Amino acid sequence: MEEWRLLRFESPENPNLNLAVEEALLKSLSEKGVKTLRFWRNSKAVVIGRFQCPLLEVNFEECVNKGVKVVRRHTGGGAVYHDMGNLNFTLVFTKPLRELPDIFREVGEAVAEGLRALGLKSSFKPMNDVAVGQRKVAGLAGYVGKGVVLVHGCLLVSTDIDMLSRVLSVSREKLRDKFVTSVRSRVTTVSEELGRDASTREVEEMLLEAFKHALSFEVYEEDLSREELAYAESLYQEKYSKAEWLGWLCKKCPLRNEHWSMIERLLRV
Amino acid sequence: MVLIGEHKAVGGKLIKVCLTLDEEGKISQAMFSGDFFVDPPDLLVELSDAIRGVKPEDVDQVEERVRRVIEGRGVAYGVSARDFAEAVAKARVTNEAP
Repeated sequence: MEEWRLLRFESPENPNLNLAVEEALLKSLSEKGVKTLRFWRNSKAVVIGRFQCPLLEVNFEECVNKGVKVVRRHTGGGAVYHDMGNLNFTLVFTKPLRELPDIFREVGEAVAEGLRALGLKSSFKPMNDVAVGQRKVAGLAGYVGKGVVLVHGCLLVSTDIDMLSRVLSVSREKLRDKFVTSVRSRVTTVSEELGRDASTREVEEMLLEAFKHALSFEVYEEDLSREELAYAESLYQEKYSKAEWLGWLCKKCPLRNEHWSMIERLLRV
Repeated sequence: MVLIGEHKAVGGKLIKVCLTLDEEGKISQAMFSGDFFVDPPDLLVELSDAIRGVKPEDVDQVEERVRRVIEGRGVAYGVSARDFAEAVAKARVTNEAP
C-alpha cells in the first residue's frame, strides 16, 4: 500500500503563504515523488479561483471593513470564504491519464462517504461540490499536470455563514437558477446539520479515514521540509503577495482603471 | 462605456464578461472571468482577445471564435464555447459593477 505524508502545516493569518505551500507540495511530488495529504485553515479570508475577478466576486467594502483578506489560489473554481471553522484539505498525488472531473468525482465521493459516516445524508454533486441534502457543504478545486494531481477543497464545519454571506458577492443569475434567494439557503455546515458543535479536528479524523480508504494509502506524519518552506516563502514574496497576481485578469480588462486601486487596497487588509 | 454580462452554464458554472464596444458596435476590449476551469491558464486571455471585432449579439460568430481557441490550445471544464458566447450576448451597461 502507498505511503503518503500527513501534513498539518498551516499559516492561518497569512492565507497567501498557505496557498504558496500548495504549490510547493506539487514541486515535491514532481521532483521527489512525495505524496501528501494536508489539512489546514485560514483565518478570515476570501479565496478566489484562478479565473475569477476579485472585484466581481467579493463585497469590497465589507472585506475592507471587516478585515477579511482576499487572495487568489492557483486553481480554478469559485470564491470561498475561509475562517477557523472551515477545514481545508489537499491531496497531492500521481494519477496518470485522468481528467479533472474524474478526479473531483473520486475525491468528492470520499468526502461524502466521510460525512455519511458522521450520520449526514451527503452526496457528491458534479462537477466539484459536496452537499448535505441540497445544500453545499464542501467545494473542490484542482490541477492535473503531467501525471501529477493536486486537489484541494474546503469543508464548512462551523463557518460563520452570516459573514460568508456578507463578503461574497453572489450572482443573481446563480441564485435564480437554484430557485433560492440567499446564500444561507444554499450552503450549510457540518455543525448545523449535526445539531451540535463539531470541531475541525473531529472532522479531520473522519476525512483522513475516508481518503485512506478511497485512495488506498497509509500515512506517516511529517512537517514541511526546510526546502519546501523556503520555496513557499519565495513564491509568497514573488507571486502571491503581489497585485499582479491578485489582479492578473485586470491587465486587459476594460475595468482596469476602476479596479486597480481597489486591488491594491485589498492587499493592504 | 463598460458592459458586463453573466451566463450560467448547465451544471452551474458561471461565466462573466466585461467588454467595451467601438463606434460600430463591435467588441473592442473584453475579459472573461468565472468559476470554471481552463488549462493552460493563459487560454482565458486568448479567448478574451479572440472575440474582438465581433458584435456581441452575433452569438454564432463569438462561439466559433472561442471554439477555435479552445480546440487549438487547451481544454475548458464546466463551460462550452456556446456558454462564453451567451455571456457576451447578455452583456449590458450596469450600475452594479464595483
